[in-house]
Amino acid sequence: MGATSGKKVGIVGLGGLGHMGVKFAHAFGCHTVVFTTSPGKTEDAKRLGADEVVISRNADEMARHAKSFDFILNTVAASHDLDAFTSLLRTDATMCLVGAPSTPHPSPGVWNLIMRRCSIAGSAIGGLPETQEMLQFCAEHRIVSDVEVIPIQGINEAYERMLRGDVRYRFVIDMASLAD
Amino acid sequence: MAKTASYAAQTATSPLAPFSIERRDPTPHDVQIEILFCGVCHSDLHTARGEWPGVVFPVVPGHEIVGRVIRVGSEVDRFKPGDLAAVGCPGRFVQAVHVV
Repeated sequence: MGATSGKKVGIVGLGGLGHMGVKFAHAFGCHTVVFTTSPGKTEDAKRLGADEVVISRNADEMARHAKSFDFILNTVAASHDLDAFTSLLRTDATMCLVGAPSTPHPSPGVWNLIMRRCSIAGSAIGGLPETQEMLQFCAEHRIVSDVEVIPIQGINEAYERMLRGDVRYRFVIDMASLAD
Repeated sequence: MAKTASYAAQTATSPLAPFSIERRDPTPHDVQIEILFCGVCHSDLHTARGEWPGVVFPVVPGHEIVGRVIRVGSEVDRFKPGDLAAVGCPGRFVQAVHVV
């Protein structure tokens, strides 16, 4: 998909999926750029392995990256303007959507896609061979998720915090708490 | 059938609360695990709140599962009790990978 050593890769959204995307892209040797709407996440993004951080609400910052990406992984689970990112793809590049908003994204403009043969793609979760390969890669490169462990009794509060973007970066339920 | 403790949403507007579900007996091809940890995905939230089609209530969300194998069926040769295992997604049928 273009996320190989030396390529310029964008990660949109620094949440549960995005923070892992940064770690993988960094480990692949990509020039890794994080797009976030939260300026407060800039330092964290760099700690996770980002080479650059772009505040996606800043049009000037976005314009500086026009037509320059080999691949963009879009992890945002809320409806948003895809054109802001397809305009950053270079010829033959792909933006892959892995966030699942409950209301559709606005229909993307086709001009960016036509003129540079760009693609908008989607992906869910790999099958067992890909998952095993991924875990092996993580073990070899010491890649782990940044998690906040909670008891299951805290799940409803965790959902509310997820909706506010208040998690760094994945809640994990300690199932031993189910016996409490 | 085995009774299993869980947290479930009874409707799209009710919070998750303790619930008991019945799991079918493991088949010769199944790996039975004790679930140790479960990640919380935004898809769980969409499911619990009925925000996409096909949700049947009550529902027990959660698919990012890792656990320890406690029993394997007679046809299973890649796992043994005591192994760490993660569940592939979707996991209606047991699809396990080794955690390394």
